[in-house]
Amino acid sequence: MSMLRPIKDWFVSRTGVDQFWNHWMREEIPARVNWFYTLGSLALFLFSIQLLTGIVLSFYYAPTPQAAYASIQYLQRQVLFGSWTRAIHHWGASFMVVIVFLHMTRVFVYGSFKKPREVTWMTGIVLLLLMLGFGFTGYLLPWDQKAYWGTVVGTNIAGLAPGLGKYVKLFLLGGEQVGALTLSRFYAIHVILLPGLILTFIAIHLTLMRRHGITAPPRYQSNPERKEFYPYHAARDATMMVLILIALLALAWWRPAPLEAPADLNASGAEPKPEWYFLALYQSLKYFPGSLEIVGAVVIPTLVVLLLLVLPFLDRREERRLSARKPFAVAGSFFVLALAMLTFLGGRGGGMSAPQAGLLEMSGAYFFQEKCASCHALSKLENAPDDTWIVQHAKDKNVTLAASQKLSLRVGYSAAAYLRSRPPLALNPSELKGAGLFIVNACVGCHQLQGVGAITGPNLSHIGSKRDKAWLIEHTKDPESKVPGSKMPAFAYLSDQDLTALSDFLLRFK
Amino acid sequence: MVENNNSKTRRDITQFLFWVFSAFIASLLSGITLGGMLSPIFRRQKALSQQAELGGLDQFPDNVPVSKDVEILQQDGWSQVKQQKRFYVVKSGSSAVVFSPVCTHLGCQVEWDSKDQKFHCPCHGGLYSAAGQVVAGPPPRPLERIPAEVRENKIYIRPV
Repeated sequence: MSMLRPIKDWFVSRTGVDQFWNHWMREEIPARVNWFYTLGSLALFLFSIQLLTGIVLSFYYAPTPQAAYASIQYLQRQVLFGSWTRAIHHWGASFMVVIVFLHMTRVFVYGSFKKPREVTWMTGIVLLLLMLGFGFTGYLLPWDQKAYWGTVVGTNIAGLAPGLGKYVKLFLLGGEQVGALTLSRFYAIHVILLPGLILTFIAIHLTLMRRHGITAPPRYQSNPERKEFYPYHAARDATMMVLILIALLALAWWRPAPLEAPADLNASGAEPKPEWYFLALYQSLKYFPGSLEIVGAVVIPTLVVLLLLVLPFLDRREERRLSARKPFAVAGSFFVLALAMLTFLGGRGGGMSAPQAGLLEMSGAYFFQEKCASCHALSKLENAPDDTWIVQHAKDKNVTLAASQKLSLRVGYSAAAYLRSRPPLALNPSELKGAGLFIVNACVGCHQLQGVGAITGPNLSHIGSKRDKAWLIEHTKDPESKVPGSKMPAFAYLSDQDLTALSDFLLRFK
Repeated sequence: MVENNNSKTRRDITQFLFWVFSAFIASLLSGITLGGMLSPIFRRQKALSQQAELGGLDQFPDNVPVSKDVEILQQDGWSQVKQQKRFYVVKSGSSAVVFSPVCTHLGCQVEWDSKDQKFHCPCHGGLYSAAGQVVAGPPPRPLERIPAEVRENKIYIRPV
């Protein structure tokens, strides 16, 4: 140790790290601070995790409509810890929203925003908005269905604002519609502009925090007892950080970040749902139809932000105890309750159609169950291999299982489609089997269903409202018996069970 | 150091210069940066306007909206890409009306439901009649009509 001493002394004298350490770690804080005071540090800790994982993601991400989705697939399949890193970034965002919300609640309940800390609170609100900006811009980057349609709706909401709305929308989109220019701007905003802004405001927030010191919990307000931040409170911070890090890494390990099918500009039935922390806003839109829309979309959110910003000037009496600030306690509880209610209702998605799985996904679900599930557990295939690989694998004679040797191109592609998106399927086993038969017997070679297939034969998208089960079975066995002169081949080789499954499936399309 | 009148004036001038230069640098740099970022507001990119054929009149039944996908060349930032675009055609006799399926509320894609004879928006529950009029829900305007013409029994549109 004594040999290193001169080196340490030299380093300290040249850099002043000891002053830095003393300034940030030896700060005297009220002796009665508690575990709720770790929330601010936790928010900062989670932000640094976002920063780290974000840097890794940006190594592999390509912000163009042609490449974005594929680059994320590459990241998830080829990059060491790629899928995990993306999941940490994905869930880390949600963790941050929760912790920041709790931190704000702590500051509100303890009245810590009161004189002389008004500006500290206001910079906190700015940080909150920047955080939501990260959520909004990050949502588009995977360029999947959810991302694309969520951004279409989100930017249209911004466009509703009177006067400036039109320009805000143009600024966000980079043009008239969501496209290549939108993606490159959202990327730039997400990885350059917002990080720059948020780091600046974090610096201001922390400087102000040090300038005015930490408040004691209200009931110890007059207690002059103080102690140093390090090690007593620092140890609490570190404990919470370890706990939250383990929780985040574990969640990300078991629940990978979702990746839907690539953005399809013609997908009717795509139901864009925002991230859960925007659900309250999303839900409030539904209460203001027509010309009142802007009330829910713009007026109320703006008012909420303004109210939060000026809170220190409304609730300005020196008394910090919540019991002495009854009107604000009531208003605050009402606000939290409303937020929770709207989020809950928005999540339930009442009044909207459930997302519809496409034809390929439906048949893929059947094939997966029939052909793949004997070797592969769905839960272990977190990242679907790409389509070409699945088809190769399906045709590979070296794969020992007989089942896999029978897989055709169609089966491979639909299994891939299913694995990619894993949509919720509201089909019973017979209907699922029907979906598989529909694909494997090449019905789509002549018929259209849900926008898939050729148009040689009649479109089957609404066949369920036109024909009944008996008719469909008879017709499939022998088309000419029902439609004289029909050019459709007879599928007499299908078993009765298969014919039933096929018609069960078709009857779903009303 | 003793300050005489002379050095006081110098001090004033240097102070003045410091702030003028600072303001100059700040306005120039923020002007250029903001200009670049806000460019889409001031410079609109011209949309490609390509004529597209939707098919022969006899393909479409009378007075029932039928969806038709056509490939349209579109300007997307720096590249021109062929995009599948969906339109709804309502033929009546020898004329046809073409609707854009973009919901006028917040831009989701509506779909014709032949069972209850309405266009359904999957997002916020908007409903339109076969004529594109708002029947229920939040949409503020009818579905957008795409200018269409019929020549030699074929339907042509010029979407933007």
